[in-house]
Amino acid sequence: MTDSKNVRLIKTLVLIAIVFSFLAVIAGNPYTVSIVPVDTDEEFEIEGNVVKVIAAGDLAARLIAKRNDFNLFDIRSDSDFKEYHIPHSINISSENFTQIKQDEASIIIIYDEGNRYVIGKIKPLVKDVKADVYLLKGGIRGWMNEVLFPDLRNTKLSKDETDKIYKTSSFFGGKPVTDKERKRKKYSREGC
Amino acid sequence: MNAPFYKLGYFGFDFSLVIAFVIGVGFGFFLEQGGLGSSRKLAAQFYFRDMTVFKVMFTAIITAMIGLFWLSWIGFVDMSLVYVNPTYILPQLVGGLLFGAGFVIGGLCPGTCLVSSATGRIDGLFTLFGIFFGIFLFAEGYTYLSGFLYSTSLGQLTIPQLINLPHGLILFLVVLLAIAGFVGAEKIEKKFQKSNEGSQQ
Repeated sequence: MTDSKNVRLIKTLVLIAIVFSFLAVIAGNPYTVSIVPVDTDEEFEIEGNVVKVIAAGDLAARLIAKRNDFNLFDIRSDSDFKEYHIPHSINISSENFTQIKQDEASIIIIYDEGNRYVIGKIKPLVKDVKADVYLLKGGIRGWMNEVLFPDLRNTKLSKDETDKIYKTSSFFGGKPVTDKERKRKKYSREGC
Repeated sequence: MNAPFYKLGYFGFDFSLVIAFVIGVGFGFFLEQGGLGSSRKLAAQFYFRDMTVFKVMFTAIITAMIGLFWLSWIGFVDMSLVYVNPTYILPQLVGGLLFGAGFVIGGLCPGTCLVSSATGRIDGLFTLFGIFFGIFLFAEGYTYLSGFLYSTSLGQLTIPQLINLPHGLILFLVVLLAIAGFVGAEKIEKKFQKSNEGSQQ
């Protein structure tokens, strides 16, 4: 290709990029679904309902206390749910939602993959529901990091607090990450 | 919604690896065609003599941005299913500096070193060994590093979310920035090429 043809091609591509990006300003939001980041404790509104945020530790405490005043909904895909899910959670889909809604608890707790919740997935769960709705802070990843495998390194906790974390973690089949564990692993590797 | 295909369950994990391989080969082919398999060309970027890397990368960014924006807007891609890498300020800052240092020393980055190796260049092979050595060190030191790796977390953060501006406007500003960058890169290239020729005479 000659230089002049090259320049013409580049100019055309630049023009196309400008036109499409300018149209994007008018088009607004590319998300055909709205997303709400749940990484603070702030509550927000969906469909006129106030939606609160619950920390993974608080959810763990509810599960350990065997409280039955709440329903726990997993809104991830079926395959992700089968791979791992928080105990007593129900994988929700539009098909089984109506049936579940009839069995209303006073509290509904919902969790997704991370801290980005799709409003459209939450809307049907919130609509016409009298129960208090909570979203799990950080989703399943928050649960993993705070409950199953909490990082206890570089933290100064009392013995009681550490024991509590260990108990909670082991209750759900996890184990905190600690310096001791690191040293032991290193030592056993050297032994090999 | 039709995409992302893997997330929507159109194929399994095994087949996703085959697709990743095919895309990888295609990506490598075009990198080579763009001349990015040569460490001299890539290292020249850091001396402002050849800004090809800057232009290629920025072109890739705006192409992907425009493509994803409109594919999502017409309802083909479900952007909520596209993974957003979580932000860890300090670790990513250190990682970026380390990456940049490796880039300027070796003259290649992970993708281009594979391209360079595939075409039989010795420096590409050495960089590839360096990468595997780095991976080995990282894996061995992971337990020591993990405290730092997950520090200063901001979660899954996007630019529109951070500065609270509409997605479309961000896209437009990035395109304008890219065009200004391309024009500036051309000027810088000419200036440094001239000064280099002058110093060689």
